[in-house]
Amino acid sequence: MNARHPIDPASTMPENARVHQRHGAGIVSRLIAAGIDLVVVVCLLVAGYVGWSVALFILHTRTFGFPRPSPLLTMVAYAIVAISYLTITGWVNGRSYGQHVMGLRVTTQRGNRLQFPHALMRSGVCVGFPIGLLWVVVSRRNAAVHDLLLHTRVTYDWTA
Amino acid sequence: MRRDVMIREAGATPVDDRVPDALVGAAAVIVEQVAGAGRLIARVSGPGARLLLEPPLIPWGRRPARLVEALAVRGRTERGAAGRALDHAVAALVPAVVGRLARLVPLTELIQQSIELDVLVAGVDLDAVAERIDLDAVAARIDVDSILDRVDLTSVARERLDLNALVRTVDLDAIVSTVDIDAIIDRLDLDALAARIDVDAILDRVDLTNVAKERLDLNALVRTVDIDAIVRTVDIDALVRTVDLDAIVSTVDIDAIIDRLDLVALANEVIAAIDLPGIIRQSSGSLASETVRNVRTQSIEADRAVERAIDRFRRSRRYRSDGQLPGSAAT
Repeated sequence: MNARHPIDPASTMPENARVHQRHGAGIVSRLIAAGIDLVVVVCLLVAGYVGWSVALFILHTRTFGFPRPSPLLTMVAYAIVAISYLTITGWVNGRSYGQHVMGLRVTTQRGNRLQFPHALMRSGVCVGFPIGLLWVVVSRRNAAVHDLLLHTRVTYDWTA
Repeated sequence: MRRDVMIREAGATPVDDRVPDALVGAAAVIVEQVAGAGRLIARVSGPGARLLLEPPLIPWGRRPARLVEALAVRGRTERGAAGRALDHAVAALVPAVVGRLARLVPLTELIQQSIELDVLVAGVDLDAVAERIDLDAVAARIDVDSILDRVDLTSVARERLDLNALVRTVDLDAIVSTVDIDAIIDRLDLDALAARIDVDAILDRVDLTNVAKERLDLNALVRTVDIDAIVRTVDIDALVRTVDLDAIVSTVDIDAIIDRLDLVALANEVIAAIDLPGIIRQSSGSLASETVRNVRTQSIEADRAVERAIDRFRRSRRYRSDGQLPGSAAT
């Protein structure tokens, strides 16, 4: 009785949530997670903009003025930050922060964590064609367009 | 009358025998006549002889009859002596003569030709003869063994004896009590005998349950059993699967068991074993706060609501396209 046993994460879950674990996530959960991720990406862009401004202020104090990036630069920066964010979090942790908050996880069809190229391609499709997420509504297995293209799935997973 | 008979018998004899027979008949007539004359003389002279021998008025000792009596005594004495001498002579001569005759004369053939043995035996009272025989002595002289050697007793017993009736009269218990059964058993090949026994048929007729209850000391028997070896051969998993554990548990007084447990100590051991602080850290570290849980739960319910709405929409579309009620089977 003195040996420590591994913790069963399911034991800490509510009964009504336990039955949905490992099942395909629905559109509402995924939209909320995507919204949170969007906020995170915006925060990262703002942080970058603030940092860029601080650097300009230090280098050109007399002539300092807030930078005014073009829409193209802004879109490119958004794409780079978003793809990097989703790729790194999906590759390292198996989920983004928004998915972490909503208790979701991205896996392959066999339930394994994504490899880096796989995560990179999925992030690119997500950022390039975000409207594809709505395909979850009509999909019988709750798959978005990027899930269908790259054979991935998003499931409920409340474990850490 | 007798003479007529004799004459008739003489007439019936052969001619060659008439002469001697006539001579014998003449002699017989003479002897008869002489005897008649003698009896007449004796009858006539009897009173005179008695008067002569026993004259009256003379004393007994001086009567002539006394003399005759003395002579008679002397005569009997001499006759006895002569008889004894004759007996001695006969005893000495007869065996020799008979032996000589036996050698000269075939007596057996003579007897067989001359004597009708059947007629002779028919006239014999054999019962009386048998009563006079000492059968014990006769039986003692018989060689029974040689007789038995020549008799087939087996066939005699089969044909002449009612063995069943004979056996019913036998006291088998008394016979068996005299038998040395141990010696018989030592001579038996019990293994071969046992191999011929249909043990299954015997066991079918035996109530082994009653036998075991009444005859066996089950406690002593069980003490000799290697229960560990038996248990190792038992598929306990399969055995347990056949047990209705629900029925067993329903009979258990769980309250009494709980009363006997030190729940506080048990809870402390469980908490130490499952690393409860680790669980708490994990729950808080995974944003499993009450708010996050509620958001997640609400989102899951919203997902299911959207899925149900989509399903209803699909069914209604199918109904409109196929003209069927939603959920009804196609006909």
